[in-house]
Amino acid sequence: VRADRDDGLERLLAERGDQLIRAAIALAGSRSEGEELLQAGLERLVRNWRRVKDDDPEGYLRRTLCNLAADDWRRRVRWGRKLHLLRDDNPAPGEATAVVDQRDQLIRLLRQLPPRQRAVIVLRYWEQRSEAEVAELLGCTEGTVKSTASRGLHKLRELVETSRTTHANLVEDKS
Amino acid sequence: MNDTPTELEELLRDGLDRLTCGARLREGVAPLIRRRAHRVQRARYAAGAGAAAVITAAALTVTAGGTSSPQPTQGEAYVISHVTSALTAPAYAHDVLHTVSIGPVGWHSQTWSDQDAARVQQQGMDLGSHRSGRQYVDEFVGYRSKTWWQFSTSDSQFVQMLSAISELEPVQSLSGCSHQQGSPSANTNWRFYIRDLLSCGAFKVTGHAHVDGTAVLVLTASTRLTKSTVLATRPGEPHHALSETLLVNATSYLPVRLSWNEATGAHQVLASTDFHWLRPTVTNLASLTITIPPGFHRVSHP
Repeated sequence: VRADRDDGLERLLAERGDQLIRAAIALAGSRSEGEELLQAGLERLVRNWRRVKDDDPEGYLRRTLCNLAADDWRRRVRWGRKLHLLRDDNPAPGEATAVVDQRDQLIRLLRQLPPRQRAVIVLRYWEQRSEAEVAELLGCTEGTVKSTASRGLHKLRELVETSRTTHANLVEDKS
Repeated sequence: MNDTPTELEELLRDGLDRLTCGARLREGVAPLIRRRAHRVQRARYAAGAGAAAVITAAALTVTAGGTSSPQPTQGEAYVISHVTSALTAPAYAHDVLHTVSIGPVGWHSQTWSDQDAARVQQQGMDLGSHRSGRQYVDEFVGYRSKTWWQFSTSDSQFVQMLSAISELEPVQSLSGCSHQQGSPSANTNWRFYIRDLLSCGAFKVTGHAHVDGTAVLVLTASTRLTKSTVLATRPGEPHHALSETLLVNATSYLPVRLSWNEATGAHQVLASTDFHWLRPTVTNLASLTITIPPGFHRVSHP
């Protein structure tokens, strides 16, 4: 069983490793956290190999990644990251005038969404999965996926607006 | 950035493409993962043995007639068993847990929680969720923006998040301790967090002390952990040295204070949380809900 598992894991990572790390990064919101997320998922895969080897190890791993991400797998936010978020809410005057790429800003705002909303958004709009597929991955109904995605986008639009207003106010204050 | 979903979705896709662009899994990861998984498995078995020792110790205590006063010779198993029991004891189940946390650079937050409600107050915002009949009500107040929103739902995300903490399998770290994922956030469910913290077996009883005249037992755990993982694309990321101190009331065994000292190279982060277990009086229960200040304007729920 161990040799079978070792071969299977080697093959999976060789063939699908790059796609998996990218999926994990998108779900987690940053490269370092994506690496941690994938590692946590792989460890679970190794522990449960006997159970999933005949089924679909990659499918199990992807479901695990999605669920870990949606359940806020880290559970705790380092003080540093918390402070970083707080700084984002109150940018220093010098930072406010910096030109920020909209896409990067959006990804930063995406990290502020609750984990489940973030996971649904990534699966729906980046991986382009159907509502049914996302529902299966996250173990919920299609209706929940639909409403969560809608709430997530709505929240993102609000965050974008808030960020833009704060930025404009700070620029105005400075001038 | 227009509000049309199509454009937003397009920007999201582009942004995530940029975020993940060029990311590659480095070679040779499989053996590292296997080795780590084995280490974690061994740590779990060890933790299981530790838990069994805790149960045995508790049983022996009862057989011996027990004692209500703390003894200097109390071992880890005895103390941890009693702290865990205190956190789930019916006598405190309806108490309001009030926490006051301080961190670096003036960071501070307060939480109030009981079985049906939770509230987090920090840095210009108040976020709470409480049960109202068969529904949960989420409320938010932004003191800087002078805005607030309220949202009633039967499946409050906030409460779901708190309850999910108890069900989630802890992410295991190098030593098998689930708490090494970093310091908790303001909305941590402390009862579960501390139970998790103690279950990994890293804490030792290191002494006795007094906090505001209350006798406490001092439990400490010190470990090295890595932020980077075996998958890290940037080898040699600094290791963190984390030491944690938990003070528990020597009589009730309820946590009194938890403090962290996390160091990365020359950078050091100190933080602590004080725990206050309040009787469910009208005043204390009122702390669980947010009062909207007059003059604040309501905005739509996100």
